[in-house]
Amino acid sequence: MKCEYCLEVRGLTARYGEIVAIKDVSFFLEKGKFYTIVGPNGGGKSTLVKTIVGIIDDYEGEIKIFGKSRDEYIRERLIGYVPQMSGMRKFPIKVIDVVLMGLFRDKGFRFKPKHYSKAMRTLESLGLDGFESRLIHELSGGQRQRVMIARAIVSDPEILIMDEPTVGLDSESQAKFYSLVREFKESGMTVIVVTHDVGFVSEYSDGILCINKKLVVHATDVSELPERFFTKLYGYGVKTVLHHHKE
Amino acid sequence: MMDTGIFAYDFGQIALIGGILGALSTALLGNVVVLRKMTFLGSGIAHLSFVGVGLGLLIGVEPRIVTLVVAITSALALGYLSRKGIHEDIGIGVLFSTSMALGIILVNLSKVDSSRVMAYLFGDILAMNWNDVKVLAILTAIILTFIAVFRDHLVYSTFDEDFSKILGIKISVIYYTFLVLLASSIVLTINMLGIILISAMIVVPAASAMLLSRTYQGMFKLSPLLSTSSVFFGLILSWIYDIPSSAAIVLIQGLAFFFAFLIKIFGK
Ligand SMILES: Nc1ncnc2c1ncn2[C@@H]1O[C@H](COP(=O)(O)OP(=O)(O)O)[C@@H](O)[C@H]1O
Ligand SMILES: [Mg+2]
Repeated sequence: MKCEYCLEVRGLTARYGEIVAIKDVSFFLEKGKFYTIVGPNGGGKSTLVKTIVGIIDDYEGEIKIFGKSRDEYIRERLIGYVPQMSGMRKFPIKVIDVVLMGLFRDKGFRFKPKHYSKAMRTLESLGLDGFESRLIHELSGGQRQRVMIARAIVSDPEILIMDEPTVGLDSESQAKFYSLVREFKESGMTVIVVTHDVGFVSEYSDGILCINKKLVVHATDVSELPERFFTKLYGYGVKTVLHHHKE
Repeated sequence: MMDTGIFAYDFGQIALIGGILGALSTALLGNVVVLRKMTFLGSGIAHLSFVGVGLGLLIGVEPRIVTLVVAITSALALGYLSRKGIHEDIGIGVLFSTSMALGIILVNLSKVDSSRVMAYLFGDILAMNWNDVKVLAILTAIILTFIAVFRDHLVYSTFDEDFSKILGIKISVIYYTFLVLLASSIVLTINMLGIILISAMIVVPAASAMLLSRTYQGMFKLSPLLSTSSVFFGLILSWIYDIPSSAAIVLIQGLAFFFAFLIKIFGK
């Protein structure tokens, strides 16, 4: 059976105790495309992402990945995941060892030379060669972000989900980041990015999910969305910003 | 030449082997304690264990069995609190001193010889027997295996719990196993070092190793080395100057930390 969607989410609800973080969320995503998730802070974006990748187990509804149930899929294969950055505390771990975490399932009793060379190649592909022996907290925010991306893609995932990866990056690094996303997409990966960079969203993304707890709008083009929708979501008209941006 | 005469005696050999086994166990688990920033755990378990000592002496059951039960229970409880984000705060400080007071009252009620109580408080490594060493050897073997197999699991779930979950690491099972092993190693080394000094054995070698080595891999190699050599030199020191051996061991560990600190500051 050929499956049409790489990710199917139906009626997904997740709570933290009494707090309902996301309610009855449903959407379907196609393979090999680039999607963005937008929405206000506290809107449940991180919760949604954590539920899909397997961090949050306590949810109602259905998540199917390439036609399999979430748990069945993640037992066989990792979903690439780049967490939302919080201040990195000091921890005595080298960059190479952080990347190797992504190959942990494959290691058996210990990491082998092929794991090291895979991790090194991934670091190189992200312009981080020479940084492998640094400690993770000795890097700048942007470099650390790329290490997290390296850890996510080192296992060659079919789906890569990144939670606000461009926060704190200057505009040049942001542009670099989105061209990296395009490379991933061209290699056949499905890429999902949680972001507030609505400007880049319209230029690069194949689909946009707007999440504010219960409210979900799924559009394939930002221009499909009425301006007052963004006004309601963010408190200002994003489309106005977009049109300005495109000039 | 150093005067190593102490090791010519049976009690000296028992102390050396027992001490090294205890040092290995506590130092290896101590790395996890230090990386997780749970340094209150060691002294907490030891203080709460004193209630077990008092209870055992009072009801006439081998104190170490009662202590083991109390220690494991408190390790699981403190570990649970720590995971919920409750760290060294006033409440926990009050709990520790209150349990110590309760222990003293229980011991007093049991009317045992006060030298036995002193051994629990300050330790008496020279009073160990071969049976103690055997039990300690079994526990040390279990802890060495646990660390050899699960070191990365423990480190990953400390560094990034969410990602460990994605990797399928059974975070809770490993964490609570670690706590049970820590409580057991504390109970089995209490009669060597005493309730007051045992937390040093857990925290200090790992803290020194963290200063001296950049990576967690280095910590796991260095801290057992620092810990076991401080037992060796501590015993010799206590023999030469006729001072309490547990205090001598901890003093050497403290000096090692001080030098590690100096190296860290001036070595760059
Ligand atoms: N660990 C948690 N415990 C309790 N509530 C949480 C937790 N994480 C998030 N929340 C709550 O769930 C809601 C959604 O949060 P989150 O998914 O982080 O939103 P976003 O990523 O869109 O900013 C918020 O109200 C937040 O306060
Ligand atoms: Mg978020």
